[in-house]
Amino acid sequence: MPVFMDYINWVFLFYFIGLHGVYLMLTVSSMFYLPRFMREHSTEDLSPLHADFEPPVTIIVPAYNESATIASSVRALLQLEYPEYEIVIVNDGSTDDTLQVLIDAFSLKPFPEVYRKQIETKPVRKIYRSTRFSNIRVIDKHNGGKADSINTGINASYFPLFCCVDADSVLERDSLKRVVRPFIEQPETVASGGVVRVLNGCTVDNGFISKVGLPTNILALFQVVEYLRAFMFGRLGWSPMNALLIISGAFGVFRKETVISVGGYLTHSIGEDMELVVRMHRALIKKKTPYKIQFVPDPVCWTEAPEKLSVLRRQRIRWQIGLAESLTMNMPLLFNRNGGIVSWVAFPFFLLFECFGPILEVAGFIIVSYAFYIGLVPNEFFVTFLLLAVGLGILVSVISLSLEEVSFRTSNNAFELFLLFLVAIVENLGYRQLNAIWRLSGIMQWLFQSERKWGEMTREAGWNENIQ
Amino acid sequence: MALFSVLESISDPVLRYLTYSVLTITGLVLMLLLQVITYRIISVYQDRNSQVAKGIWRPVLAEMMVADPATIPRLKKMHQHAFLREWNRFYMVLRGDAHNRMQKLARKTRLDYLAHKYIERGGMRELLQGIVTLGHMQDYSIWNKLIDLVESEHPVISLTAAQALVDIDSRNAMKFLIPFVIKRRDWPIARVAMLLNSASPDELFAVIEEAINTSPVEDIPFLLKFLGTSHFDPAIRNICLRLGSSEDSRVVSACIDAAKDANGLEIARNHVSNPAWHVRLHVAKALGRLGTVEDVGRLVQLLSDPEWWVRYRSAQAIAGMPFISVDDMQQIYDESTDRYAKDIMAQVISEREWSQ
Repeated sequence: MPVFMDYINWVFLFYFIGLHGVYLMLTVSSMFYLPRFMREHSTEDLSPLHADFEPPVTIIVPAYNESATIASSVRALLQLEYPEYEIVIVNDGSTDDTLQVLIDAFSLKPFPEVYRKQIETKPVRKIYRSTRFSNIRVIDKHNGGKADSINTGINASYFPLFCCVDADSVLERDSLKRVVRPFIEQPETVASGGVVRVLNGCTVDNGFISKVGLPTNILALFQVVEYLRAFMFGRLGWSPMNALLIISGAFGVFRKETVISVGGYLTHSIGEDMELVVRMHRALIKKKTPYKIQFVPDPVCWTEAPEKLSVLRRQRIRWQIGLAESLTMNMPLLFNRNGGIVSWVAFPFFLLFECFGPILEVAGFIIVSYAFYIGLVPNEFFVTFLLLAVGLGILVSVISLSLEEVSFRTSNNAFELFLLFLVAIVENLGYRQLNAIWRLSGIMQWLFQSERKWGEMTREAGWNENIQ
Repeated sequence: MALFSVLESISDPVLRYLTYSVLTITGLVLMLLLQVITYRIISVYQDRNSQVAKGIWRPVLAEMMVADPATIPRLKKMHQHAFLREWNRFYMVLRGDAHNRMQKLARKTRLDYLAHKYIERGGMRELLQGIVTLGHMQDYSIWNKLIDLVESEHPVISLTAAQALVDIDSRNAMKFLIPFVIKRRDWPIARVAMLLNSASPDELFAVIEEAINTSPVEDIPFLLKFLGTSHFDPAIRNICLRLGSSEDSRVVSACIDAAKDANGLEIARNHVSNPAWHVRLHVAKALGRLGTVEDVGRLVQLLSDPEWWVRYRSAQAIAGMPFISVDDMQQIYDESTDRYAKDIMAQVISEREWSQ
């Protein structure tokens, strides 16, 4: 038994060192990149680098049974500050009256438009154009899922860049300008995304955030810190190394030509947003095409976080399955000779720590606790190790908070700041462990279930009532 | 000390290191908390300061737009930064004589001194603000320093310095900047076009023509793009005539795209059947822009092109010709035997009807 425990100790030790080694690298990368970004863009109002040169963008809004919110969401999109854009709403065979709501709200009429099938999709029934807004089109198609809807939108789009927006996302008025910026600054950019924030607790008027606030629900509060950690620390850290493996499906801009060349979104994948980005890396590295996939640290999109444990659990399981699918479908990217950091660091990190990490984390917790229980691990070791593990978690969360504070400072006052700090500590005492269990459950489902379903995502969408 | 002696008393080295790590992490977390609090206090102070400065200086700046104000308040040190930003913002929205008055105000408040100080300090944010300010003030004393800064590896610094040179003296700046434009591929094309638009067409044309004559083929479309954006209608003709028969399809595309007269039209007509679809696309657009009645037949031929964009642009080009009515378009639709041509014509006819 002691020999077995020795092996186990070594496995955990390597896992621990590897995980926190990469975290350290991401911290350094974020701390180097964010201040530089802030400095470079602090004088933008004095020397407008991008004014009048934004390329036209097609905003694709996939909609399935969104009759309650779709009209107000599209009205909010019409108010975006951007010189030229079109909105393509794809009605994915809704069984409710989504299409009729759109027809009434925007005076749609059938239009004899040629549908250009560059990516295979479910058949299109009819294309409508608004008689009131020349930049609104609605594609009515047979049900095929979110990825199929976005592919349809890509086929129907006129512009070189497209932007996917979830029908329930709330954007900033200048979100599009900010996310398109990398395409202007570096023409080899093929995709870019920004920070997604938790909407709960904020006040929304006419489809835009009028006041940023913190949620009162503890689960949503945990997710505020979790989102900060994921974006300010994780994605921001990978971006300068051109090793970003995910751009959120809630809001991201892509170069259409590149997405079509890799075959568009995969319709049978649960994590279609991540899978596309990983596949783009793979394809462009294979072709030896210079490219950049970039992350803009500006807050650009607000999304509702689940406030119920059961809904959150389903979401996390789904994310974990999506992650596993995205990585295993693109295994040739792993240790690819020409892949650079994305192949040699980011992909292995995601595979080992993000995808299969929960197995070791949960097993580690159980084994160490059991060993402690039967007396194989001395008390002081057990307590110190636990403190170290939790302490490192807290450190990562607090670094994210401090990065947020020195950059965008979205918390309103000292109380909110203090509350976030407290949450950054408390979420490491139970919530993160619970998350590890859900993620483990996701991995198990991915390994042992053949059929995968999206599961139902219940959204409160209280903010939507304020939209006229 | 007591803590150290406790730590030293831990006999197991692994446990001792673990304890050290826990203490280090606790220290780091507390340090970060302190940093966040300090940063917040500083930010709140700066925000308040900035509001006060705006309250004092905005009315002065607004008055300065139309006339010299009777009195100019003394610029307090704590308001300098906010004033510098406000002054630049006002300057950028003004034109003509107001610029002279704003420069006078800047000199009276010794903004140039502050801007020079910012540049000397060398921090990125202050450096950029200093460059922009001295550019707006048309301060020649910084010229040589700006020339050095244009060579900076950092594209934002080099572009800001280039813009300041143009602001100070566009004529002399262009002589220096054009060779840089060709060298600095990290400068966004849009921004370069904006810089070039500040120069006189003759000066610019001479330098770009020389660059076209001496550059490798792969650089020519890049250079032609600037000719296109800078509106050299007569001057571009010769270059396009010479390069229109190039074997490189990108060069041909760029020439056709830049074409603005009958000679350009002739080049476009010669490439209706070019094997590269992007050349045919530019042909369709050029025929729509410059074509005559006899070009309608060429566009009708392109309506059956295998590439959707060529078909769409051809149909749009037909619809955009001033002598083509909806009835003419309907006739083209009726006479088309190709399904793709019919589909695209139907779409563009509807688009035209809807837009009227």
